[in-house]
Amino acid sequence: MARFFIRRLLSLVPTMFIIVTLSFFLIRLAPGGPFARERDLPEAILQNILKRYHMDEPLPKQYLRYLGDVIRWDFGPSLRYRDRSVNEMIDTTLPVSTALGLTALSLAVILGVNVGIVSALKQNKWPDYTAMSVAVVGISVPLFVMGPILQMVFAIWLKWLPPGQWLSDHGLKAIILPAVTLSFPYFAYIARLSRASVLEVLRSDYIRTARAKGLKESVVIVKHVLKGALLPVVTYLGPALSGIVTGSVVVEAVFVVPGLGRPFVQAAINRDYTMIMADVIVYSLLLITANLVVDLVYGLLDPRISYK
Amino acid sequence: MTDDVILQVKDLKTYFKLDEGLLKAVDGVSFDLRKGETLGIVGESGSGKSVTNLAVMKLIPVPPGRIAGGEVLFQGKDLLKMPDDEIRTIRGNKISMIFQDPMTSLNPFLRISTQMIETIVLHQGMNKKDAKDKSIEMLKLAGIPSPEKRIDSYPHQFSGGMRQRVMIAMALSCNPEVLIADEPTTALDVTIQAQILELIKDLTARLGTAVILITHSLGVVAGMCDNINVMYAGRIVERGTADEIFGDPKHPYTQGLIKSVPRLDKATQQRLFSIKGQPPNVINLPDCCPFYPRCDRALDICKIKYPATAELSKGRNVACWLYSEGK
Amino acid sequence: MANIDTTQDAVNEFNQYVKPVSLWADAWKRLRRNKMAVLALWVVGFYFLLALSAPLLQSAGILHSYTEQIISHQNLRPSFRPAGELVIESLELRIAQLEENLASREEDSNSTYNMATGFDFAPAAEIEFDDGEVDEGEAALEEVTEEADDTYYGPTYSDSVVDELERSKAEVEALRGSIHTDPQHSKVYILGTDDLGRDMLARTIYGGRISIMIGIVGTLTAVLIGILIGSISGYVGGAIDNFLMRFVDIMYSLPYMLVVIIIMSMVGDKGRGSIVILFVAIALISWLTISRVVRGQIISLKNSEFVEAARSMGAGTPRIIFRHLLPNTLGVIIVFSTLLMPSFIMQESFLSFLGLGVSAPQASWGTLVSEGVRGMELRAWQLFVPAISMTVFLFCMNFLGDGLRDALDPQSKNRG
Repeated sequence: MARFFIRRLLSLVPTMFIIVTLSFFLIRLAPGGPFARERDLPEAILQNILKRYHMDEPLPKQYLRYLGDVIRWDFGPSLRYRDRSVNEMIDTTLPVSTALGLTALSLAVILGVNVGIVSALKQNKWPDYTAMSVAVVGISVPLFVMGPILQMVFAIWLKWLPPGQWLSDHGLKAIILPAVTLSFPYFAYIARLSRASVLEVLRSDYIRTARAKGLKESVVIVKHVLKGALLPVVTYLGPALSGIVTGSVVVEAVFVVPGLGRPFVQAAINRDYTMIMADVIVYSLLLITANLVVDLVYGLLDPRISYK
Repeated sequence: MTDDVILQVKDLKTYFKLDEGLLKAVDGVSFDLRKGETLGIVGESGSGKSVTNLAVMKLIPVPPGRIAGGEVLFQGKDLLKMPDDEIRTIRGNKISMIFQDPMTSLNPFLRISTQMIETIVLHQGMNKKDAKDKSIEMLKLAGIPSPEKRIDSYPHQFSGGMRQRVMIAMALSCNPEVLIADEPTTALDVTIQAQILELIKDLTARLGTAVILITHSLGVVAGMCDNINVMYAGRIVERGTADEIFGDPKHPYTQGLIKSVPRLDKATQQRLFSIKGQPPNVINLPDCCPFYPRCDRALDICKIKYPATAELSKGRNVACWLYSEGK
Repeated sequence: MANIDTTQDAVNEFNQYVKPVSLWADAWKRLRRNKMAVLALWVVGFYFLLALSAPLLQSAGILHSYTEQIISHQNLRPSFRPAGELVIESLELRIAQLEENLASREEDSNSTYNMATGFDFAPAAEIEFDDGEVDEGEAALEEVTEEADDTYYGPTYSDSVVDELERSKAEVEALRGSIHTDPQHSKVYILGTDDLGRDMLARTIYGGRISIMIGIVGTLTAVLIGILIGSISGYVGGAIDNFLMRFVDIMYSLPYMLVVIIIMSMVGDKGRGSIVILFVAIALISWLTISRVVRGQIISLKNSEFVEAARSMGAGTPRIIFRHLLPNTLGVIIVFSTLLMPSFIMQESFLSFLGLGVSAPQASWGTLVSEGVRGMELRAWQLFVPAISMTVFLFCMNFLGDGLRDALDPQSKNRG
């Protein structure tokens, strides 16, 4: 187990290396630079700027320098906001995005699993139909439609919740709308997934055995059904987190949340190389680690998987 | 005679409502099981033999299934009318089951010990430690080597034959009156099959348990059963003692079944007999003998009406127009 | 002898033991029994038809132009009445407000309060030029950020109230004169107009055209690449399989939309907004899942007897892949494609919403929604019309996909 863990941990290194390398060259090789917009810049000044960011050096040298910086967790200055370093921006925005993402993920998992179980147990009765209709809505309605509509209903018409901004302005209430919006599609998917998988387990032979042993239905569900039924949900956590990371970009835009998403989109539009690179690295590191944790949890839950 | 009947099934009907129509999986099945008896139920797949026995335990999934009628009297009480709480004290305790596929019948996520102990604790009121000792004892009886060590393993760490031994140990751990064995050897290697049958025979004889052995293989029932019921399309078409069924089969279907068993003791050059055609689709079956399209000796009346069961002698019945007075 | 009839039926039934029903006929039968899927199929068909025939409808005069901007028809609410009447009505409302405002200002020296009430509900008068065409991307983002303090419109000085009153009165007069002569004013906008005076119905239909097109082309590209890579990987196996699947693994660990965003930023200002680049960017990455699905299917099929048989008869690798293996994975591919299409549409809209997708004058559903969000407090229809159209379509595609999955694979997990 420990050896497996260490081996998986070490396998993160080449993956991250490939990601850093690929995105570095992809971005650098694209035509036009971050200063292409400022065409009127005199040549000398442009050269000065380039020099300041070491962009006058040959590409391999830049790459090695960047690699060294990244290992020391230094992403350099932002090319767009010249008085701020990328690290500073990440330090201020990442906690916000993390808080939002984790809240959304927990909401999605807790609600999704419970709704899925109830739905499966009440199969083809009204709680099932209601839950599954809500789930289909959740899967079909894009975040950027759901967000504004929730904003309009709960913040503008009913005035129950703040329409946007963040904890500093509105306290914990501010996290409700963005987190609910962000979690909705994943809640819906998890609810459908756990419903289907509970139903499948309920039909399995070993549940028939458990019933034939005279166990109470509640014992059958809690002791025999749930563990097997929740494994697919655990597997889905990786993709769900990836989706939540992406979705948070939109949700942060809709609800004016000062997270990592907005600087990222701005950087993409402005071709702020260092910022884009840093975002990609942070996001991928987050996801890869999360996938590792999911794998480990899966292994703990399923006795059939052995680590060798 | 009736005193030692412990399980009496009367006119049991189990229907499934499917998109295609009403499937009468079990349509008026009756039989008696006496103390210590081994009763074989033989039939092709889809003949309703497994459903019959799930219905006895009220384990039919509802919906789409429905027990449409009949009685299942166990020690004089109708299991079908019992509230769920009460029938649960019988399941796994007085009547227990083992299933066809040992690979899937044990919960893969729980240790063998957990799965065995929970039954014993539930029905025998033992504490966990005693229950574990009892489980180890049962595993030993079932022929699991070094059971003290293996009891904490997970099912996937056992082979198919070993798992079926675990299932048998689990099923017999509460000294049930009746053991229902639903094709217990079908999923196993041929070499293991005989061992498992021997184990069931041996253990139930020792514990005085009555057995209902469900199988599609005449070879399995031959050496095991006292009495045999032959099922076809949801109904029992012939019943008798093992000797009667094998020695003097009456129903054309039974005759066909017996002729289609390869025999080593008769050196024949003939091709192996097979019953022509396929088992009928029992959905929306008309009121006729369901076997007549495959029957060599079919009469006109076979197409119109299902034959009444004729009693040839005590406990020797056949449902066929050939033996019916009304022919 | 009524019994004879039933007997005849029985004979028939028993004689039809082996009724050859092809997978597709069987699936179609099952699909038709699923009412929601059938309804979804009709709705999707209707959308496709509408999207295809939009230019025809427009040239036939049934549909207004989706690009024509009529400044005086800005922000009209959905209605079956001609535009001219609506404009006059809203101008009169505005005039009444202004007059009331003036009157109360004369009574009450404290004018700030009245200013506020006077200007809050004045949809027709605000002339708000968007820099949409210049740089939609930044505009979208900034607009959203400024949502909170967006309540201030209109003139600052009280004199301008008088000016505006005069102007509005003049406009009403002019309109009254031309309402029956100018055909423009007899236009009916049943779903209202946007903030540049363009017909919402036409824009939504044309937005759908682009969204659906991106969905179809993207899905086709992704499915083709996915099938190719997946089948090679699955069939050839060995080092090639290992290399391809490692690549897929790494791509998987990247947040997918972020990669698309990077690609969109790579292509720069000129490339951005081009639909071709957009769906190439999306398709480049979305073949991952389907290649895995196909690979898994091929591996499980490759060891089956019928492939052995084909190989023993001398069939080559491509022939085995294309004639024997792929047709057997077709069901999975169809189901997957139906579910992939809405996700494509969603992703494209996602990018357009962020300002990284389709740019003006073309618009997709995502663009329309993001435009609608800006004014949603006052002009909810500008958000709801494209949002609902889009959601209904995605909803139906998902239903159709689920239905197809149940129909093609009756043993599948999601069959309830």
